[in-house]
This record gives sequence, C-alpha cells and structure tokens, in this order.
Amino acid sequence: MGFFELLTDMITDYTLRTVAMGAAVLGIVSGALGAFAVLRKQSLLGDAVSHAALPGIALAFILTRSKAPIVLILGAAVAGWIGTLIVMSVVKSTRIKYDSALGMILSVFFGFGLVLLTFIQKLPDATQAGLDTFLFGQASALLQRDVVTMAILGAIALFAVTLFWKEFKILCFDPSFGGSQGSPIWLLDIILTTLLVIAIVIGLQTVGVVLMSAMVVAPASAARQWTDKLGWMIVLSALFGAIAGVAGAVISSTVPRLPTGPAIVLCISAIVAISLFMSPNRGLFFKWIRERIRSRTLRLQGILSDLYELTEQHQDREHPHSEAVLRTMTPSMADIHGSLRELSRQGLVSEIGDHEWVLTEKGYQEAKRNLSLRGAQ
Amino acid sequence: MNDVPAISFRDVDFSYDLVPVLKVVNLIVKQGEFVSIVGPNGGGKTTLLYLMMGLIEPDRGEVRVLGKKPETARRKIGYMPQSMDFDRQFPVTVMDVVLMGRLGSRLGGPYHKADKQAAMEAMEEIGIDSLAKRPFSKLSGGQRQRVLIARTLACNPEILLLDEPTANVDPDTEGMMHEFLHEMHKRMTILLVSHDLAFVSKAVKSVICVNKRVVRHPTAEITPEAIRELYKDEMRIVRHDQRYQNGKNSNG
Repeated sequence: MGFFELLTDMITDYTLRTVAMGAAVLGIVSGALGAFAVLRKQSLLGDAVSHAALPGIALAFILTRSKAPIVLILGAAVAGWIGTLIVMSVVKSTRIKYDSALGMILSVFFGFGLVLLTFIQKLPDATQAGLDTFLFGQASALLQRDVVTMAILGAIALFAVTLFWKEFKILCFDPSFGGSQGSPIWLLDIILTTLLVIAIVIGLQTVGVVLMSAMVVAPASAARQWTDKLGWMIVLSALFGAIAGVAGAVISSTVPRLPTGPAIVLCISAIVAISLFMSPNRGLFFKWIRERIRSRTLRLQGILSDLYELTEQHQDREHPHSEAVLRTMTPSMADIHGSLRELSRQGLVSEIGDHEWVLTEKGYQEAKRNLSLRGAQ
Repeated sequence: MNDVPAISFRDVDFSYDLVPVLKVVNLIVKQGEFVSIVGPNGGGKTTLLYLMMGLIEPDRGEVRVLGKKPETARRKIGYMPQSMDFDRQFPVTVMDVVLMGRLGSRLGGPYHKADKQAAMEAMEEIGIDSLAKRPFSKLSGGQRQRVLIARTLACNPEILLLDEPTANVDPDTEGMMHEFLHEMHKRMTILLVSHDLAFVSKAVKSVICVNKRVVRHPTAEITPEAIRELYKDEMRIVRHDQRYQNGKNSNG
C-alpha cells in the first residue's frame, strides 16, 4: 500500500481513522503524565497500575454484564487506584521497599485478574468473549464512542496538569520545600497519581495491560534527551506518544495479523533509541563525535608544543626535527605522520626533507599561545 | 510586637514510630537572634526544623512561631533544605526554582506578576539574575547553593531556617554563605543547622545542642568537653584554633 493510499485511508476508512485517533489520544495523555512519573522516579508505578487494573475490568463486567468502555474503564481505574494506594501505604507503614511493594501488588492483582478472566470465559453468556483482549490490547475493536470517552477523560487530566502546573513541578522536584511553603503535598500526590491512573486506563483497551507501562516510561525517557525544560519535556513526551500511537496503528493496519499494542510499543521504542543516540546534547552519537574532536585537537596541540619545545631547546627556528624524535615524546600510539600532515595543512608546520619538520611562524606563535593559556589555568 | 519570640517550644515531645526523637523540649529564640543548631546524626536537628514549620505535629507540648501556630506562620519562614535532597538532573530553570519560593498555600493557576518580580529581586540580591534562564542541572555546586538561597529569600521571610548550607560546598561558597548570613542577620532571625563547629563558632553567638534533649549554650561556653558530651563517640575532630586563641579558652 502506498503512502497516499494510507493517507486517504486515514481520512476515509472508519476503522483506521478511529484506531489512529484513539492511539493518538492515549499517546498524548500517557506521554504527558508519564513524564511526571519518570521524573519522580516512579516509572514502575505505571506497570503496577496497569496490571492492577485487570481485576477491575473483570469485576466491572461481572457486576454489570456490560462491555461499555466507560464501565470497564471505571472498573480499571478503581482497581488501579486501589493498587496504587496499597503500594503507597505498604511503603509508608512497613519496612518493605517501594520496588518490592510494586512487585507484590502487581503480581497479586494481575493473578487475581487472570483468575477472574478464566471464570468469565466459563460463564454461559454470549457477551463474554473478547474481554481477554485487554491483555495485549485490540485497537481494531475501538469504536468512535470509545475514542470520545478516552478524549474527554484525557482532556480532563491534561487540564488538571495545566491547572496545578506549578504545584506538580514542586511536588516532583522538591516536595519537602513545597510542604514548608504550606502546599498540601499529600493531596497533590494523590491528585497526580490519580491522573496517572486515568492516563493508563484509557490506553488499556488499545495497548493492553501488559505493555501499557511502556507508554508511560518510553515517551518521557525519549523527551528528556532533547530538553532541559519541564514544559518542553512534557510537550515532546506527549508528541512522541502521539506519533508512536498513530504510526503503530497505521503499521498494524497494513501488516496482516500484527496487533496494534505491540506495534505502538515498537514505534515508541524506536523513538527512544533514536533519541538516545541522536539528541544533540545528551545523545551518544554526538557525545562520541565531540569526544573524537576533542582528542584530535589535544593530539595536534600536543605535537605542536613538543615541536615548540625542541625548537626552543635548539634556539634555532630553522633547525628541522625528525618524526622519530616526536614519536618518542608522544606517550600514545598516535599517528604522528598523519597529525603532522594535518598541522601542515593548517599552515602551522612545514616538512623540510624526508620526515623532518619545523614550525612555521604561525605555528610558533600558536604553540606559544597554547602554552601560556595552559599556564594560566 | 518584637517581644513575641520568633520560635518557642514548650514541653515538646516527638517520636517516630514510638522511638522518641525529642524529649521535653523547652526553647525560646527571640526575634533578631542568630543561633545555630548542632548535634549528632539522628539527634533530631531536622525534626526540630520540621516541627517549627508544622510539617509534623508534636506528640505533646506546644510549638509557636511568632506567637502563632506553625501552620499559620510558616509563610514567614524561609527554609533551605539540605541540598542533597533532590534530583540534580531535574529539568527546571533557575527562574523556576526561585519562583518555588513564591508558592504559598494557594492552589492552582500560574504565578502572578508580583511573584516573578519578587523572584527577580531575590536573584539580583544574590547576584544570580544573569543565570535566570539557565538549566538548574548545568550549574556548579556553588551556583546551585546561591539559587537555593534566592529561593529562600523570594518569600520575604522573617525567619531563616537553614539545614546544613555549608555541607559539601567549596571554600568560596562557604565564604559567600558567611557574608550572606551576616547580611541577612541585620533584618531577620536565623536558625542554622550545622555540623561544622568552626563555621558555627565564628558566625553565631548562641548554640542549640540537640541530642534527644535540647540545651542552649552561648558559643563561648562550648568547650571541648561539652562537645564530647554532646556527640559522644560520633564526634570528628574539628579544629577551631581561631576561636579559642582569641576567646577566653585560649589555654586549650
């Protein structure tokens, strides 16, 4: 399928359009809220919430026999929220550490959820089929009204973020100072955690409980590579989430039997990988290049100052010095000849005879200046 | 008004999970005083500060700040936490951090123009206004400490609570802290938590020793014996030649 066909499909094809919009909404909301979780070093909280949501979905169905998204999302939210509160209170009131508490709650709730799903499948009721799609998500089942529900909940969450922007910033950065200022830190903590729960549960139908935590952690981790400002980080994180969502939806619609959730997660992983390598300040690629340039500059400067030292010892600027001597003065296995060639291209040294070098006037002044700079430090 | 003590504790007990941290604390700090809080790790210094800010409630007794309950009066307190407490890579600008001093208890909405004005003035006073837009993570340790001071000043405090402001800083920053505290003492009450007795004995006139019990001494009374008694085995040797040569205890 060509690019243009895809584009027209996006506009005309009901399923693809719905899926792409749903994925974009979930990407934006989980990207934005996930950024806070990552900055608070609570990346794994997303994993616990999404797994803990499963029994909530199952119970909501058992109690109401309805598969309306708002009912299931509500069940998921309540269970996810209870799970989170249990984690918080376990950490607060026992000696169990945060990561252990998360691990316990995650597996207990998830296990309970699986038991309930098995139970539902044995029910003599035709409507039960399809609830297990929440495990890995099934975007193709998204309806327009599901997307509308997701969008409304997401908009509420994002509005709350802008409303409590300065408070959340302090909550994440320095809560004890915020408390000293009279800010109700515990309340803000609960609000922000609730918003994270909302962000997670609206994505469950599309991405699934198993992979949803990737949508919380990955966009924020990628965004952190590009900026040092919280506002930009959240905007970028939301944008990356949206791009991954739409791209994943489109890819899964073109490849037969490729589920949407995993496709979205693969897309966001690609964005993370690109960010880790290519971002200008923190990226590994540019770091490597900067390192190379720095070590080359240092090597050239070293050889230049060695030659300067020889020149000063001989008190004769015209007297040539052999590469062999310079090599003995250089501790590493550096390419002396190549470096001298480079220096000569810059007009700092010139070759007289076979592998014999002298400083040019420009090179002499340059070496002198480098040495005095180094002395000044 | 100035007769009202800046800080007063009456028969205050506090414990974490039944482990007593502070016992029968009676303490008065007058307005305009500059006192230091010293004591071993786990002795209850930071707990004492938290009680003053109303972040925790005493089990028994009464804490008053400027004659009022800590929750009511804490807007008058400028608190500078230990700088190790937060994530140094956190994506905020210097302006963001200083503005946090203007948070107050009002919830929601953006900062007002007056808040930004006050933050800018605090930065000018400390001489870091040129750093306003720089990322906090890119600053040196000394600059970071200045930003935290500016944040503390941004709320126009009447009482400064500083928790080990000279821990892990270079001599230049320590000198700057000295100067700053000297300057601030002219207009506000200062309580300074510090392990650094050399720093303390130069700067303050009175010391509050905290190790479950709380005792006040004039600095001149801090003899090596008193310090040994307070810190027990945990004491590290601190030289304070200057003080003891010039003061009354010059035989030591």
